[in-house]
Amino acid sequence: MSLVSVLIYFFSILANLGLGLIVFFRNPKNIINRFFTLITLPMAGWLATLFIINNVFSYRLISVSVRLNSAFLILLGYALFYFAYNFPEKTFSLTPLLNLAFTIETFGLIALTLLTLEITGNDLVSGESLTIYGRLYPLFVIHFLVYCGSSLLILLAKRKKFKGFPRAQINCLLLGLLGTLLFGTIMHILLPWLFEVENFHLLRPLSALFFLGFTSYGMVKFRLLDIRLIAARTVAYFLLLLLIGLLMASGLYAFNVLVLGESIARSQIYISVLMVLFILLAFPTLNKIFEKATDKIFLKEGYDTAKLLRKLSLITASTLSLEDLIKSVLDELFTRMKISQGSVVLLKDSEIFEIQPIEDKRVFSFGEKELAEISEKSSLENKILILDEIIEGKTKEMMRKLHLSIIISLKVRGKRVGLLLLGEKSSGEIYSVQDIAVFEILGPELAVAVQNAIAYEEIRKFNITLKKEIQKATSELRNANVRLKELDQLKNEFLSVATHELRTPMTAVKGYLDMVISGDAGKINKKTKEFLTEAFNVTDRLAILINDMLDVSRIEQKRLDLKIKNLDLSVEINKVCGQLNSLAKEKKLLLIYKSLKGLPLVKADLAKVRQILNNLIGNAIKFTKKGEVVISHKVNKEGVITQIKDTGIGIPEESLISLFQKFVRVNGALDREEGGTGLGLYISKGLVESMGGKIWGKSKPGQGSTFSFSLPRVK
Amino acid sequence: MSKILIVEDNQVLVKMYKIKLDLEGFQVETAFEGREGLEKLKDFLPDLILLDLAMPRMDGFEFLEELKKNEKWKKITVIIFSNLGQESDIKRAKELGAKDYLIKVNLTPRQVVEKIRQYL
Repeated sequence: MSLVSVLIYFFSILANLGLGLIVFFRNPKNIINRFFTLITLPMAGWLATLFIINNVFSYRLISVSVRLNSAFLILLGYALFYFAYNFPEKTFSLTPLLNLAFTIETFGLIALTLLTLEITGNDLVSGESLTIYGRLYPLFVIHFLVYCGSSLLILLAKRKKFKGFPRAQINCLLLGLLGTLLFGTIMHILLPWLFEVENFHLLRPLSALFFLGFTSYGMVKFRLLDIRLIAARTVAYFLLLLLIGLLMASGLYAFNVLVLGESIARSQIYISVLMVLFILLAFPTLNKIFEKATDKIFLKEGYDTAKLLRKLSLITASTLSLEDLIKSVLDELFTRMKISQGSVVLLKDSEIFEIQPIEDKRVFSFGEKELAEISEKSSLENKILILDEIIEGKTKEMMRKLHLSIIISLKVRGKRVGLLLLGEKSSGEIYSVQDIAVFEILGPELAVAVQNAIAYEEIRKFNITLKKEIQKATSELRNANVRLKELDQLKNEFLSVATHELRTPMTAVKGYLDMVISGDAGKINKKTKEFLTEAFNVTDRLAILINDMLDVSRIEQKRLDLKIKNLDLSVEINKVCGQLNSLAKEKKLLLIYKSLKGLPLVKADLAKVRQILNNLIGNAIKFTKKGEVVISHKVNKEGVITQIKDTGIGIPEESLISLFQKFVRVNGALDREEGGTGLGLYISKGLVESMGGKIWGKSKPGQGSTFSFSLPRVK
Repeated sequence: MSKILIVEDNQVLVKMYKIKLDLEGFQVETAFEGREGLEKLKDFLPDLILLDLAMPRMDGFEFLEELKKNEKWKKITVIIFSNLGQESDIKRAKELGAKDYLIKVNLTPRQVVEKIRQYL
């Protein structure tokens, strides 16, 4: 009994048992899984009994094992048939009667095998146990061949019928079965018959490995038997471990026997192999290398994780346009990970927000209803939804129906902004742990990028609308401005025409009255002269009023045509005083100007300054009955202040401010006879302010008033 | 005896100023508007022109421009005598060579005579 053979037995039995149990507990309700387990368990049993028959020298044990061995094969054939019948779905159906017949036949035969020696038995010949075949042995052979043969035929028929994954899965199963049967037949029957040696039985358990290997491959590559991703990896891992163990053991054995030429204790080899396996499993680094190796063999990634992540990070960090972002990310995933289909769905407050229309066959084109379902089903899950990982249920059904393998919720601060949906890999491989790790990093990055892109999009759209609005508003404003200008022009024309038309008759009235008064039309008597003078004064005041109103309208419309020059205020004040002196003399008032030496020049319009001075000094004279009017200056940093102080009746404080308003005159302070339009101070204020100065008044009733204005000085 | 030409379209005012100026001893001719004024100038060379601005056919500005083109006429003192008081009008008139710009309504005929005497 060679060490290799022992190891093969050992691992085959364990692998069969393990695989059977994993598949069974993965989904005990699934009939396919049940029958698969029903294949692996008898297989393990068959191997175990075979081992006992060949290695254990206990007559009683062997005699039981020999019969059990056959019984397991009977069961194996039965299970194989029903597995093939059910996998991946029934293409024909057996009547309940037939099912019953098959079951009774199988279990009858098992009972016959176990209870009698009609099928197989054994005899002790010169200390060695020999298998003997009973009279009904052909029944066993027929049963086994019929069941196995029909299984093969059923699978072959189904292979033609199915396409895609199921076909690939059937291929795996067929290869496994054929391999096992062929190898088994060769080892069990052909070689012993041809060479008349029994030693080939050492390699018999290898036949079991064929089935095991191919089904495992199918599980990993084509999701055979709906086995969980981790389970599939475990199987792959385990198988590789087995392979390495086998290679090491044979290597050690060969080295010892062939090179050193000495035989060493078997137990020593077992221990060294076990130690190596332990080391492989226990050390993380080695473990990782080992895991990578399993991935290389079973799950071909074909991409460099770090490189892909770098690329994806670059895309998510640098792409602002939503369409480009989604397109680039999907493209990268499609080409690097070899994913057949995928899409990004945008969510807003958990509602489908927008589906980016991308012309690409690889992009899912789900309807709103389907998307709503995906969104709803995936909203409960926090983690990445992996079809192979989640338990049976509505979510899994939905994913299967829509061919979704992965659903990644894109979250920003706990809020979902979108979904990354991925279909199967085009190679048919399942998503590896590495893939999932990539998604775990990509998810949050993409989420932030998507949110940014949405925000950018919104701002961009808002900008466009804003621009349009502004353009519209601007053109409206422009039109309004043109209309306003037209209106302004019209108003100016109206104003000047109106002024002209009012002034002309008034000029005639005033002129003729003056001429009559002056005696140009002949001598007039005193009374007539007095009356006509009254009429003249009123007309004159009317003319002043028109002038003032013209000024007011110019000030209010800011149409003052100022000619700012450097002015010497003392010159202007002297001129105005000269003009008004006669008026002051008439009232026996002293008009005093206290000029300052080196009075700074001011920046002002000559005509306007004269108008202001005329108004203020004129007012002072007008409202003072006796005493004096004194004009003086103060100079500060900003400008020159001119003060006009009188000894008149004064103004109550509360009236001072309102004095600068239109048509305001102080109650009682104004004698009707004094004339004036009530616009003078208002105009002065407007003129002073238009030149950058200020005007104000101070007064106490009975103590006279002081009106002051400032003008900016030349610097 | 100083010669005065009044170019003015308002007949009431023309009449009034003519009476006053005649009384004051001036030799006065009148024209209804600019063209008539230019016609008058061919026979009558005044010392001073009282020129209104807003007139039919040829206004005061045009009259002034024409006046300044003629060597004989361009030395005549011109006083704008108008009821238009816009700053822009005043500015333009002075640029065209007017000596002064008087607002009719602000002055009595007596004051007008005083102004004329100032410029003669």
